[in-house]
Amino acid sequence: MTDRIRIVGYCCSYGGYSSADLAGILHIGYSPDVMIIRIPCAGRIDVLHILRAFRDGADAMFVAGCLEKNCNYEYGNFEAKKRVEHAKRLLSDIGIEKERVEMFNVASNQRWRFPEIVREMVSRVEDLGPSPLKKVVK
Amino acid sequence: MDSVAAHASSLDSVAFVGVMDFPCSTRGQAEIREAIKENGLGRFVVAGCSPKTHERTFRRVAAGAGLNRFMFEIANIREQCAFVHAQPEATEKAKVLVEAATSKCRLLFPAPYEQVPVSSKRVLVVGGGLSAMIAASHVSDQGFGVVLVDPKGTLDEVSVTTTHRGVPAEYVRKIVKGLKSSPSTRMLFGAEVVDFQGHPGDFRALIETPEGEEDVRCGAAILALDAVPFASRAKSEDERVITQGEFKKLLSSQTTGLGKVVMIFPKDSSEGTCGRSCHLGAITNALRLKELLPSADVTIICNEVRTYGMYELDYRKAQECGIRFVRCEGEAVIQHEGGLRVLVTDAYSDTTLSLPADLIVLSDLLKPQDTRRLAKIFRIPVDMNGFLAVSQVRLEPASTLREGVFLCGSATGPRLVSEELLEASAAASGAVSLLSSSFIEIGGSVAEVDPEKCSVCLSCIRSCPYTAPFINENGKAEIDIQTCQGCGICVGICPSKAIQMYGYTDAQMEAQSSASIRGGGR
Repeated sequence: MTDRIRIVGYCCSYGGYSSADLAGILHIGYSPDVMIIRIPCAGRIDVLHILRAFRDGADAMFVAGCLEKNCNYEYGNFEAKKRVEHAKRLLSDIGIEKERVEMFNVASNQRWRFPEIVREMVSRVEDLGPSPLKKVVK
Repeated sequence: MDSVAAHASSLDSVAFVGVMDFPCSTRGQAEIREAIKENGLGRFVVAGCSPKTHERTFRRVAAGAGLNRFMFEIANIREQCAFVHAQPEATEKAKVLVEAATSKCRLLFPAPYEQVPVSSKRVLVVGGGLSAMIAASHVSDQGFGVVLVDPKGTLDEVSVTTTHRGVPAEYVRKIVKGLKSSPSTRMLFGAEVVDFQGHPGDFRALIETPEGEEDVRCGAAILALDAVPFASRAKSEDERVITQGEFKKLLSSQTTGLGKVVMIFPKDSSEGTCGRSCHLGAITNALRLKELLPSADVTIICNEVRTYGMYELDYRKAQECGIRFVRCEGEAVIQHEGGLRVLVTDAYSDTTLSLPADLIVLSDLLKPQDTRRLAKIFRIPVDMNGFLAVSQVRLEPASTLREGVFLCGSATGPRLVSEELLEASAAASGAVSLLSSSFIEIGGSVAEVDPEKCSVCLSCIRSCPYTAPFINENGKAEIDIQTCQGCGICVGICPSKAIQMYGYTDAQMEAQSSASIRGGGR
């Protein structure tokens, strides 16, 4: 395991992922520490995915869905928000800062938004330091 | 590129790595197919553009090589790596992305896929207003059959009025005549749709006609319903308080006793919705009065004025010719005793104004009728005011969450006539383009229930936006793959973890996540 920061971003195909693609097409750079995983809808996210990302040694993770009330699948992003909130509670219970997890809402045409999200998460990790679980992950 | 390829070769279960300039080109596709056949590969990873660009292309490649068309994974090393990161980080990240995609790809299994023929080339149109006529005539003009179900039987009435809400009667009459003489169009007056089953390309509607029940097959459906305008509660017995519709009629005959007119825009409430059509209608009426009687004193009490686009010119003209707009907060109160008056609090000065009036004109509110019942039959959502909900206003206007069911008319929200006409055309072309294809593809990333694990808690049924899950004859949840749109909401919500989704199982996603975190840099 190296010391570099690792942030996992579960991005919905219509909002987060498309926004990241658009940022790419326009060459708007962001930190390479973020690893994007495509999911069909933010509603696919499970609390377990969030927790397991930390078990695997992630320093932070986020879910990027469509804008509220504009979800391609009507309310998948609301479902995701609930699950992210739940994961935050579980993580704070075991002593991991809840700021390491966040739900974002992005529209596919917001080219500046994805890099902004990455900056936000990277700065949070810089403030908080590496994940406390990282030491025990082999 | 070479170091990424070398890294890929070092990964577990990778049998072949090829470097090519454009895997999506015809030559690239042929190379991939050959590599699959020569090496007996069961699945592959493409490291290149975003899957948004060429996912469909590679599905064809997989199918062409004899694989299931979903047995591949794309690592987005272009838009989400090379374009946004500097060297050497970009190469390092590309390695991790390829590794993550490979980890997921290893766990892929064939997804269901079927081509269902579009067996019925007819469109069911429900509604009897302007939108229904326009939509039906567009469909019919393009050579497809139409079954028009008009619950109220008002189509004939529409054709006799001189102008129908600003649309020349001549045009309306021509359309009705065309529809009536078209051999492929059937009209069912006074009929109701009572059941709607099936899938795009082959729906079955049960229609109750005055002559009895009828089973109609259709490939697509257009709900072209109109919301009904009605007077708000503030309208009382007092003859001096009238609606915009009545005011318009009044203007065509007399202008006496219209010295002081106060118009009140209603607020959206549970009672009904007031939209731009009511705002524009009021301004048009006010301008007309000013034209006929320049000395008239007109005040419009509003919260905001919705006159978009070129209609802003009307708003400006209204202001220029002396029509007063009072922004109010809270309700305007009508006083009937001792001379008609309106009491209202001006939002800017925070003072209460007492406006004497000869006539008070209220806007009609719009309320969709019968939409909740129809929405249930057609399995489409309604918004909080009871209007039928369009799935994506900007990307897919006139479409609903249920594929093959389209919407137009003011039952989807208050609209101007010009917008209704446009939307009717959009709905018609949506239906026609669906029926023009010879088959519809189903399957792919759909959810599936493991009946062994299902505890029949109904979470999936409650959470699905498309009503795809149902309880089958064995008493377990099952997901109709023709209805499933592959969002995965039910997968995440299932407390028994009984639902998995092709291409996005928990194991696949975790493998990808794990490799993203730990991968690279060995």
